[in-house]
Amino acid sequence: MANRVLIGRHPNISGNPYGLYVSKPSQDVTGTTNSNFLFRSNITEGIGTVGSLNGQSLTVKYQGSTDINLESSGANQRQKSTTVVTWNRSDFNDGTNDRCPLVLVQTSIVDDTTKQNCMGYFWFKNTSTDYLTAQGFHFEVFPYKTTTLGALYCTVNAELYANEYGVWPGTSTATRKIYYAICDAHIGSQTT
Amino acid sequence: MANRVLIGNHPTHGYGLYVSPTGQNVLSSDNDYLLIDSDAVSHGQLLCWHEVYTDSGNNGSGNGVSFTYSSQGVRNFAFSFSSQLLSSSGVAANINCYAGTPGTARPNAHYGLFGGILGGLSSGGYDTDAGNDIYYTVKLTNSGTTGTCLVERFTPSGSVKDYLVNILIFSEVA
Repeated sequence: MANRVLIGRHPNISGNPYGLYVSKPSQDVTGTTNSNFLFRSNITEGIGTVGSLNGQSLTVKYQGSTDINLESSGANQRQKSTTVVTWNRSDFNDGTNDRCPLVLVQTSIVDDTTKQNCMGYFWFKNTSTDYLTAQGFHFEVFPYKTTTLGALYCTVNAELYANEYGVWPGTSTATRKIYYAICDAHIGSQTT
Repeated sequence: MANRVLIGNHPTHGYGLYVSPTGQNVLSSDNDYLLIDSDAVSHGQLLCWHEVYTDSGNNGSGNGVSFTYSSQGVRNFAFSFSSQLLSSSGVAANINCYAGTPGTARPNAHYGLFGGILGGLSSGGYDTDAGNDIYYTVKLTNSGTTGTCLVERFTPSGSVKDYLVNILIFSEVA
């Protein structure tokens, strides 16, 4: 049976780094083949053109949901926007700079808050205000929105389309939910 | 209180390291919710999150932006977000998200899922170049332990707007 878990000094990896190592089923954790590891804590960036996240797993700092209701007429009939959540910028600070967190978003579907939609948004317009289709959702993360807060905005579309004559069906005004997870991972580098 | 951490022989999943979430017994045969599961095929680990600037000079095939990174010698996968200008006079420096000086607001810095208006019927001026008709591709190649990520942007209307692509790259997962 293979050794699967090693906590401490790896005997065979170059430099014998300390850490936590877990191998894949049937693989010996004391080996050095990268593809045989399920998790290892010695990942670094050796090429030098990007800031490494060092093999970080996704750690969720905040999670939750907020409700939104499209309206039966007017500007918010075919899509509607809301501020989903704000957070303190100081929650994501490396000691010198505030950092941009990874934010994941999904929404519930029309008339069923138990089912989630992860489809990106699109719409098809007939005029500047008349949408023939309005599908999916769109979110924007503003990591430095104010001097102290980051913010998440989301636009939910009606997930409907007009008939062949361009007539829009009645929009459901039932509660939709916007789910979010704000993770610790942050942008590590940039190419300008 | 539930058992949360197991190093050794799991009664269902065999030898390894297992960590269950709050309130869940790590000895359970149900492994759907384990935080760490040695019986899994792999465990996604983030290698990098890199912000890439593009401008009109990057339009079209062969003009993309690339960067290299340590692939750890395994297959990687990527997903991306994007940042587009919020005003016609904006430039990339207004919208980049890499880092912010504490106490200084940068209200235009943002990223999000890409999407946009499907063209074809626009006649009211809302199809003007706001950077939102751009589409792009992300290609990963691997040579030894060096991975290369290539971002190419394509735009049917010849956009001249700056545009940022955020690339997250994970180690092998499946």
